[in-house]
Amino acid sequence: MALHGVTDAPLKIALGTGLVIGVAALGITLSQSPITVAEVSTAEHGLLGTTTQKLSACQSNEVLPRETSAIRLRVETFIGPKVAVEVLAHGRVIAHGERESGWTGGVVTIPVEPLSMARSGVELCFTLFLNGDESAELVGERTTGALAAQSRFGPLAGRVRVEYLRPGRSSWWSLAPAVARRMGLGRAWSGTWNVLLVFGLMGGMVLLCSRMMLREWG
Amino acid sequence: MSRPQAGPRSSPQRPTGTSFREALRRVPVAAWLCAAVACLNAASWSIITPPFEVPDEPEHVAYVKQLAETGHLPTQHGNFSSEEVLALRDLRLQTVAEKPEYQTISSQAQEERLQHDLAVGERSLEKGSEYAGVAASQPPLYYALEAIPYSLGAGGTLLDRIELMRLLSALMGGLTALFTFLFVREALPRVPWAWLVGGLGVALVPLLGFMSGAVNPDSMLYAVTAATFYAVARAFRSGLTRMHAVALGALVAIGLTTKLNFVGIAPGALLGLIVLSVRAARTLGRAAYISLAIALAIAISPVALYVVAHVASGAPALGIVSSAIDLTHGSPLGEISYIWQLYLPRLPGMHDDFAGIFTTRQIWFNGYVGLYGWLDTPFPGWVYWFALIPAGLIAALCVRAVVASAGALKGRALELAVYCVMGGGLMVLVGADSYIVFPRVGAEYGQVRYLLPMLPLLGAALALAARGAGRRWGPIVGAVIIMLFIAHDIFSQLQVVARFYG
Repeated sequence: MALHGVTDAPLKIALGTGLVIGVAALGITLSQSPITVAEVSTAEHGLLGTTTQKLSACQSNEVLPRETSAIRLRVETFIGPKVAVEVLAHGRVIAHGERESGWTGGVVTIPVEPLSMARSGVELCFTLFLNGDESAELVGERTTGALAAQSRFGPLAGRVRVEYLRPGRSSWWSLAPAVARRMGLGRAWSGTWNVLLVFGLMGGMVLLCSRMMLREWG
Repeated sequence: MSRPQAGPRSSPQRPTGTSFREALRRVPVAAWLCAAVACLNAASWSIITPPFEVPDEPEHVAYVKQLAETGHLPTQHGNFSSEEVLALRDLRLQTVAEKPEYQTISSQAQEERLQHDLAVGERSLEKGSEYAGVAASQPPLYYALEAIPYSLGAGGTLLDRIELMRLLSALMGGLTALFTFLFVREALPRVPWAWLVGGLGVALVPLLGFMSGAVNPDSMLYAVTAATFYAVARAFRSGLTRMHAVALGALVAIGLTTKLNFVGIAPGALLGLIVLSVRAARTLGRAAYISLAIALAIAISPVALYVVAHVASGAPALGIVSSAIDLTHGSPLGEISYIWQLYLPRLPGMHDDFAGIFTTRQIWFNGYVGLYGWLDTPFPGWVYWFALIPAGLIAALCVRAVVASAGALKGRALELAVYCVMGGGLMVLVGADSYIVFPRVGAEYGQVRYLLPMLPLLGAALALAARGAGRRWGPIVGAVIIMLFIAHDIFSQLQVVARFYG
């Protein structure tokens, strides 16, 4: 049946192509590995201080695990400023990255170029490009001045919590059973069947959308 | 205005009768199916999102608990009920919320402890939850409705009741899609095939699914606002009858008793009512103004009751709203400048309130593309850049359609002005509320969920975009848009799954 000069065929081709691309994208995404935490600078979540001004600080004796693809700083703010990080070994920059402003929440993740080998005893420097209005809270472990992160105004109240992230070894596919099991916990009706229910709901939704488009336009 | 063309199976048929049942029968099947899609989507979100991992859900649950178990309104003081405190503790809310490095419970031992404590809470003799935090300032209609599933689940644990309440919110998500379809049908009567793009597109908006899969009055606010947009559009199309006027007044009243944010929508809706009445008076004479008076009386009745109740109890006339007004600071020009910059690039001469931030993209566009949980679940950074491509194409097609029909739009300038005032009023409200705590917090209410009441306008824009592709390719482009929205929704859900269970 033709509608507005369009026959069934192009519509079915568009829908089919869309579904194939969607399934392929899903397959590719799930064949990748989730990002995992390779190293944490401190387990503490203490408030180190609040700042509204541009702040640059460095903390020494950090460990940069191999293949670190992102560095996550614990900084709480509502509209995050631009953030830059540098990892230095013997004064030479071995990894760096930037995150543009506009992020929100309690952490900021900055992508960096991965290194093939781990480096210990490195210095992590970060800069928060605050503009004097919005405030940011630094969170981490309170330490003595010697161990604390150092800014040009002197030591901070401690070391900022830093997480070094890298892709895990397992793909999402291989982790699927564990994820499904966790999805069944902590909810009204416990059990892995919750995942099947989600599949059913989403499958029904996609089917319904496709049927409607063919029904209305086909 | 020209009458709608004959369209596909969902073409509009004007109701000749006035009964509610007859009106329901005349709702196109496609509109119901859009509602079903939105319900399925929200139900799925309600399952994948862990309990309480939606902004302010603990407070909203407490409000319902208080209302359902005691019949009294909660306050901003005191504590959550022990039942909720145990659930929050066992689900590790304080650890997980806003901290993406932590996930929900993962061991059988944690699950057993949770189930044990939920059973203890269920047997507790304690009634209600006096404390409902930020939710306590909200009007009670949504919570009163949620008290029904809450009471139906009284034999189960708190989590059982939350899931039932979430499912009622999902139904409200369905109503949002339904009324969006109907709004697009009234707003764009000459392109029947495009209505589905608007209705389905909105039904698949991930943020609508996320919010409608939670206990949060936003879900009902979206539905009521969509119904208001539809009612205004319908009255502009077919003229303001007394029934239309009463319905519009009732919708404003329902909106005002659903969530305070409707205060931003109400002026636009009332403006529409006045414009329509003046127009109707040309043919109906005084009767049109009587309808207007009745509608206004209905619309403002909740506000009048609110003021009377507060004055009678010796409280400030506008209750908690009064304290918000008291907190307003700075010059009016400064506030206007701030509100402008919250949404749009700074103009010359304005103080830079968001230095280094392109608010339109970084707060609103990125927030729409994906920011879930307690604003702690974003996509990887490249996704937001990539999303600019389809968004730009859709916007370009939409502009093309608007330019092509500029002549027809001129005749509908008043109607468009009313939609602008409705949407603009909401944006000003969000901006003014954010300004209260500025500059300590840059944009406290800079969250896209607060703008989702404007979803019907998104639906119309999507339909226009499909139309902008021309008669031949329009349905194909419409199908591509819908596939895109499906993909966006599925990947958003996967992102939430990865964050909480990965």
